[in-house]
Amino acid sequence: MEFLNPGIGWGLLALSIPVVLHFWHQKRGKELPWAAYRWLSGAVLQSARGIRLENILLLILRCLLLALLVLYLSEPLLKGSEQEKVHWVQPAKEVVDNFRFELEEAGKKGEKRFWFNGDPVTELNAIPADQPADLQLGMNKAKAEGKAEIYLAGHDGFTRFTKVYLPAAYTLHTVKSLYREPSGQETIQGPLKVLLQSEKESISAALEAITEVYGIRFEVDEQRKPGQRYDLSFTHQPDSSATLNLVSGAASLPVSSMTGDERTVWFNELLNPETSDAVFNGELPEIILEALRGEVPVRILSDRQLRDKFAVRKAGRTEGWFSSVILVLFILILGAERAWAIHKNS
Amino acid sequence: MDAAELIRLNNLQLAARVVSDRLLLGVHQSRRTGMGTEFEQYRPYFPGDDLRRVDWKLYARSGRYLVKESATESHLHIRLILDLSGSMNYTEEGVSRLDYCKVLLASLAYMGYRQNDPLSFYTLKEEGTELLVKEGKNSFHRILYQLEKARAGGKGGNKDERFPEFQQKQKELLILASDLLEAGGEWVNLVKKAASPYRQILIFQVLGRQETDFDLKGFYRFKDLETGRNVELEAESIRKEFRESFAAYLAGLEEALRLPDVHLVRASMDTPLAGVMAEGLKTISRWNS
Repeated sequence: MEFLNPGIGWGLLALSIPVVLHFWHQKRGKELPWAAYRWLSGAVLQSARGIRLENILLLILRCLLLALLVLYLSEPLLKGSEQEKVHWVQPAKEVVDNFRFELEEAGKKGEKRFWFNGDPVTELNAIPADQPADLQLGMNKAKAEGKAEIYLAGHDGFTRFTKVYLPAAYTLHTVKSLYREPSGQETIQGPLKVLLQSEKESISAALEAITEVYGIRFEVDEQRKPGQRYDLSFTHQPDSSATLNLVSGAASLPVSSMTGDERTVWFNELLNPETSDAVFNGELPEIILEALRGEVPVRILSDRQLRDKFAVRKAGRTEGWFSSVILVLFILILGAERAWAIHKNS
Repeated sequence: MDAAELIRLNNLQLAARVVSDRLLLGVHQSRRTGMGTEFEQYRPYFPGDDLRRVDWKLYARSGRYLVKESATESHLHIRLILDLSGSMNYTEEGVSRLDYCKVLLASLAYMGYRQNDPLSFYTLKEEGTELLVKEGKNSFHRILYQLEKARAGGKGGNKDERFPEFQQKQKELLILASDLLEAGGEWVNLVKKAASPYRQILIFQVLGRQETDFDLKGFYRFKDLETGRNVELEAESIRKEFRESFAAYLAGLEEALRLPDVHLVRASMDTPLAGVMAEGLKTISRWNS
């Protein structure tokens, strides 16, 4: 038996709650021999404190309730053999290098491995060249069902769809750092004309950092000067006159205005530390530099954004009969527990 | 000396003496005068008086016919009854209800003993009434011995049983020491059955401070002394209800025991015994006069 959400298994620790309550309840209370008991017991019913776990049967019923709830939430799958692992590897050197060990292990176990374009992985070092490989198209092509292990870099260059739908549960393995070896010769020559109209504070800080490290100077205009051609523009709307556009807050733009040309880099979020993980993590100077070098015309995605790109296609089959049995059992025991508790109190 | 100290003495005879000496008045004073051994007064001769009672020596001296009078000695059979149900084991601040009642009965027995009143002693148990000491020689000391031996336990007595000896038409005093904590009015039935024009019934209802006032604080496991059942309760949460229902029970008991020649004296376990006894004896001296 396997669980779709094994993490919820920790919820079984909640079983200790009624047990602890039970013993705590038993321990409290100084014993007091009492003669006028009859006048006391008349008041017992009204003063019963919350949930009384007085007898063992009730305790067992309640533990069982919790256990069933945890079992139901963790979605057990009886047919574990169906859930073989399928490894999807983004054809990029950094990804392969980063997860070489895992991928080799998977290869040894005979689990299926695919590149994002749908071709089976035969040799890890033979990275297919036809970039960008689209994961969704690759999955449709390979038709490999099973628990997907996805190895990818943390940007959105792996699909042209808004969401990738997977047949079953999945795990993401991301290359966290996009650090690259600085090329020996800095090709970018300053000074660069910059139009800065969006998030001025964080962007100018990033520009200053670049100046400090690489010696590239920027001439920043905060207001557009007529007739001026800019090398780099930071705006909320793409600027056709600039050589390179970095458009932030693109989430609010209509999709039709987002063209795929190489002169524009789109950021869904605003480039503030509060809204963008990349800015918060101090990756903005790198992103700007890479955009200038023309290397990564893609958006860096945060973990959350990356997860949002994936969804499990809910097929009726995943809701197994076993879960329904557990649910029915849960309801039955709940009924029994209530009936017993009320019977005890009356 | 208060009740707790007396009980800690663990010597019923001494305790009884200490308590009784505080009440130098007798249990029952005779107001009637007549023949007796102890001289009380002279009174003028009235026609019809026995001539033998005229003090002729005094006549020789004074020339007047005076009759010698002394208080008549009255003999009152005192029956002492001690409740031995489990609830008598209730203890408060080191004083158990049973011990308190033992000293109380011992003191009363001592007073009767000093006046040569016939004494007898009964206990009330689950199995029924038991006569432990018959009236007769040395009855006081035998009562003390039985009192010391008495142990409470079990449920309340079978109150439906009649006391066979109680059917005698002889003037007597019945003294009952108990807590009267019974469901269903068994005590009232018993007292009603025992009540008769020839009998005075003096009931000492001994209660704990917590039973009447109930100002416990905190969480307790109340254990029934008679059945062993227990229940856990927050004292504060039931205080009001307990006080009300208990006060109602006491009021109902008082009402039911408002019978001729039945006197109910309620005592708290922390009040001095002499005061309790004095209160009880007052009701009897009212009767005697």
